[in-house]
Amino acid sequence: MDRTAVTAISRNPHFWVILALMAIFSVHHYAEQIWPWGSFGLVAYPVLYLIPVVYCGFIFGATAALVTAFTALLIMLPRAVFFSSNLPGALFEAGIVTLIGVLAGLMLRVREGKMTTGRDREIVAETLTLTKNKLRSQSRKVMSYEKKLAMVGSVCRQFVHSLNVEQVLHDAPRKVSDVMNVEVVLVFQLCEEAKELNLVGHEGVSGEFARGVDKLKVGEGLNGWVAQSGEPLLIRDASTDPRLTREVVSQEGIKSMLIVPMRCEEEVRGTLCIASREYREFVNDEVELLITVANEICMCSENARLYHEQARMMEQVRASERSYRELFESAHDAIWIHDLHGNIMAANEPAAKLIGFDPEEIPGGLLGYDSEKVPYKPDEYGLSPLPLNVKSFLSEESLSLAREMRDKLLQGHMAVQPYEQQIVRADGTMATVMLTTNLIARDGEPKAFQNIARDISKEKQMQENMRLYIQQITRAQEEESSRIARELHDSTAQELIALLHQVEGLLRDRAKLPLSEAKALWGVHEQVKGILQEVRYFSRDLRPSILDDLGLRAALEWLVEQLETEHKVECHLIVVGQERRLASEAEVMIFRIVQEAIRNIRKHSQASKSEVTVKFEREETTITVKDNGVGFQLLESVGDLTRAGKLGLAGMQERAQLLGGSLSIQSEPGRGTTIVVKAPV
Amino acid sequence: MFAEDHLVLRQSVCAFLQREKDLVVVGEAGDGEEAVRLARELNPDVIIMDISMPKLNGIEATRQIKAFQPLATILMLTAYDYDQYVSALLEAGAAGYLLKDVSASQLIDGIRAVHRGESVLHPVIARKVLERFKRSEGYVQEGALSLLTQREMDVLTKAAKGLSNKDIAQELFLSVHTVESHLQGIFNKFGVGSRIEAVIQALKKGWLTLDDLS
Repeated sequence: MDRTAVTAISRNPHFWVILALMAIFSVHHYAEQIWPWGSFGLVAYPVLYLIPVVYCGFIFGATAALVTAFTALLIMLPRAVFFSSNLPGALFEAGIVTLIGVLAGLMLRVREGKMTTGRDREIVAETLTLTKNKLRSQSRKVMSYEKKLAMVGSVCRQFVHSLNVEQVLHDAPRKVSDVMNVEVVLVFQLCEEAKELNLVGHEGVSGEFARGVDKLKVGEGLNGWVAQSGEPLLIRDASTDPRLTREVVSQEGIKSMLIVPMRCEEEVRGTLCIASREYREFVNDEVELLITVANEICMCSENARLYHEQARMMEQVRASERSYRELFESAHDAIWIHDLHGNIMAANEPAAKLIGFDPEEIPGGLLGYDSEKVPYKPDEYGLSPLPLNVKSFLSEESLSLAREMRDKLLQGHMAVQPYEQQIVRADGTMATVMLTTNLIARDGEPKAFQNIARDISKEKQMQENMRLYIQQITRAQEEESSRIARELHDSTAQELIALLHQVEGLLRDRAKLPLSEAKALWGVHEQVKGILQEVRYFSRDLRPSILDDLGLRAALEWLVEQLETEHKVECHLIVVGQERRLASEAEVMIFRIVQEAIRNIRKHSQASKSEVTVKFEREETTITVKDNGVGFQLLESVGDLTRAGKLGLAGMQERAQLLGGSLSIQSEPGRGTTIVVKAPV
Repeated sequence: MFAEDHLVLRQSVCAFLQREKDLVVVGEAGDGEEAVRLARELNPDVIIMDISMPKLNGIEATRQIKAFQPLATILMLTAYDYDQYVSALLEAGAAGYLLKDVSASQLIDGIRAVHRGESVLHPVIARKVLERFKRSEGYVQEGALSLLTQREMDVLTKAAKGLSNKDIAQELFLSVHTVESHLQGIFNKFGVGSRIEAVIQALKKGWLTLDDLS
C-alpha cells in the first residue's frame, strides 16, 4: 500500500470507527488490569473483537478484515499469557475469536469474488473519491504555489520597475520574509575584488547583528561556504554548527537556516539566507522556491546595476559631448569638420567668419555641432550634401597641401602640425591660417577630419611689414654708407690732395723758405698724406669703390686676395659663366654677403683652405663660399640666428632675401661650412 | 688733357702743369662723358684721367676713347693700387697709372715718360699684372716678324723687361731717339698708345713670354 492509499484510508470515517471500536474493546478487555481495584463488572469478552473485524471486512474488504483479526489476536495474547487464570482457556478463546475472524474474512473474500459486479460501482466510486481527494490536495498545493509565485512575481516586478540596486536589495528581505514565512532574511552581495560578502539587506535582525555578520570572507561561515561552493545549505540547528564563525549568530538565537546562492549568468553574485529562531524543517519545495527568488533578486539587481552603468556612461558621453559642443561653439579659433571628400559637416562661427560665408544662407544649419550628423552621411539623415566643400575656399595649391596632409593622416604617418595654409575667402581676399587637422575615426574607420584654424594673416602681414622695414633699413644703411664713402672719397680726399699739391708748391720754392720752416712744411705734407690714406681706408670700408668702378668680380677678387695675403688662408675665386655687371644694389648685397662669409672664415673657421665660386647664369647668379674649417651647429631658423647672436649670418640671410633670393648654410662641427646664395639677378 | 670731376683738385693740378714749358693743358673734363667728347675733339697727346667720375667712370671712358683713338695715350689716376685696378685699367687700354697723391713733379715725370713710350709701372707690379695677359698656349714666334722688323722686336723685348729707353739704346747700341722712333713704329703697327699696351698685345699674341719679361 502506498502512501496515498494510507492517506485515503485515514481520511475515511469508517476507519476511525473501527479504530475506536478496537480501542474500546481493548480497554474493556484489559479492564481488570487497568483498574485492578474493580472492573466495574466488566469481563473480557474476546467475542466482541469480531464486531470490528467483520465491520472492517464489509467496509474495506477481506485483507483489511484479516489484518484486524490478527491485530485483535495480538491484543488478546498478553492477557491470555500473563493475566488469565486459565491460560489454555484464554488461549482457546483468543484462538477461536481469531479463527472466526479469519473465517469471516475468508467468507467475505469468497463473497467479494461473487459480488464483484455488485461492488464494482462502489469501488469505482471509492477510487473516484480517492482521486478527487488527491486532485483537491494537488490543486490546493498548486494554489499555494501560485500564491507564492504571484508574490515572488510581484516582488520581482517591483524590483524590475525600481531599477535601483539599493532599493531592490533593501526591499528584498521583507518580501522574502513574507513569501517564505520566516522571521530572519539576510541578503549578501559578493564583492569580486575584495572576495567579501557584504550584507546589503536584512530583515528581522538587530542592527548589531547586521554589523556583526557584515564583510564575510568568501569561504568564511555558512554564507561564505555557500558563496564559495554555489550549493544551497540547510542547517537544522545553527547554534551548534561548527562552521559558524561569528558569535552574534548564536547570540541572536537563530536555529534553523536555509542559505542559497544568488546566481546571475551562471555566476554566484551573493547569497540569500532565511532563518528561523525556532526549529523548522525546510522542505525541498521551499529550497527550490528560495533559489528561484534568490536568482530573481540577483537578476533584478544586476539589471538595475547594468541600467545604472549604462545611464552613467550615457551621461558621461552626453557630458563630454556637451563640453565638446561648448568648446566648439565658444572657441575663438575657427573649427570645422569635413568628411573624407571635403564636404563641410559642421563649422563654428569663427569658421564662418574666417571663410566668409553667411551662416544664414546655409540650409540645414551648418553652424553648431551635432554629434548625430557627425560623421555626416547624407543618406542616413535624409539630407542632401551640404553645398559647402573645402574646394570652395582652398586654392589649387592649398588643396594639394591639404591632400598631402590627408594622405599622411590616413596612412598614420607623422605630419608636422600646425601647418600654414592659405584660404581664399568668399570675397576673394586671402587669409593665412595655422591649421591643425585631426582624423576622426568611428570604430576604427576614418570618417572625417576636424580642422582647427587660427587666422594669422595679421601676424603674417606684420611679419611681412617688418621684413620690408628691415629691408628698407638695410638698403638705407647701404645707401647712407655709400653716400658718406663717396663724400669722403670725392670731396674730402680730393681736397686733401689739392692741399698736398699746395704744400708741394710751397716746398718747391723752398729756396725762399728758411730751412726750419721748410722742414715743418714737409711734416705737414706727410701728415696730410697720412690723413688722406686714412680717409681712403675709411671710405673703402664704407663702400669699396672697386665694386662701383670695376664690378663684382674684381671686388670679390680683392676680398679673396686680402684673405690670402693678410690672413694666410688659401682662397680661390672661380668664375663660371659669362661675367656681367649686375644692378649696383645687387652687387653690393652679394659683396656684403661674401664679405661677411670671408670675415667668418677669418675669425671663426680656423680654415686653411677656402673657395669662392661665382656662377653667372642668364637670370640667376649663384655664389658659393666654402671652407674646410671647424664648422658649427646649425640652428632651426633665422630668428634663432639672431637670438644666438649670430648677427652676421642673420644679416647675410636678410640681404639674400633683399635680393629676392635664398641663402642656405650647410655646416657641421668638424666638417667645414658651405654657404650658397642664389639670387635672381 | 685732364679729366677730373673735383674742381679744386683739377685746378690745382692744371696750375702746376701749366707751369711746365713743354706741357700745355688743352682741355679739362669734369666727367667721363665730357672726357670722351673732348678726347674726340682735341685728340690730345696724353690724357690724364681720374677713375672715379660721375656719368662714366675713367675705365669705361678710356675703353671708349681707345675704341676710336687706338693711339691715344691715357694715364690713369687712382686712389688705390690694387691689382684689380691696374689690370682693369690696362685692359681698358691705359698706358699706365699714378696714385692720386703723387707729388706734382712725379705726375709731370709720369706724363713725360708715357709720352716717350716708357713705362710708368713699377716693374714688380707690371710683371704681376702682365701675368694676367699671358697667352695660355705655348710660345708662338711666327707672324711676329711679318708685322715687326727684327730691330723693332729687339726693342720690344727689351722694353718688356722694363728697361728705360736710355738703357735699351745702350744695350742695342742705338741712340735714344732711334729707340723712341722704333717704339713709335711698334705702337703704330699694334695700334696702341703706350709701351705697356704693346707688351700686352705681344703677350696676347704669344710673341713674348713671361720669361722675356725678366
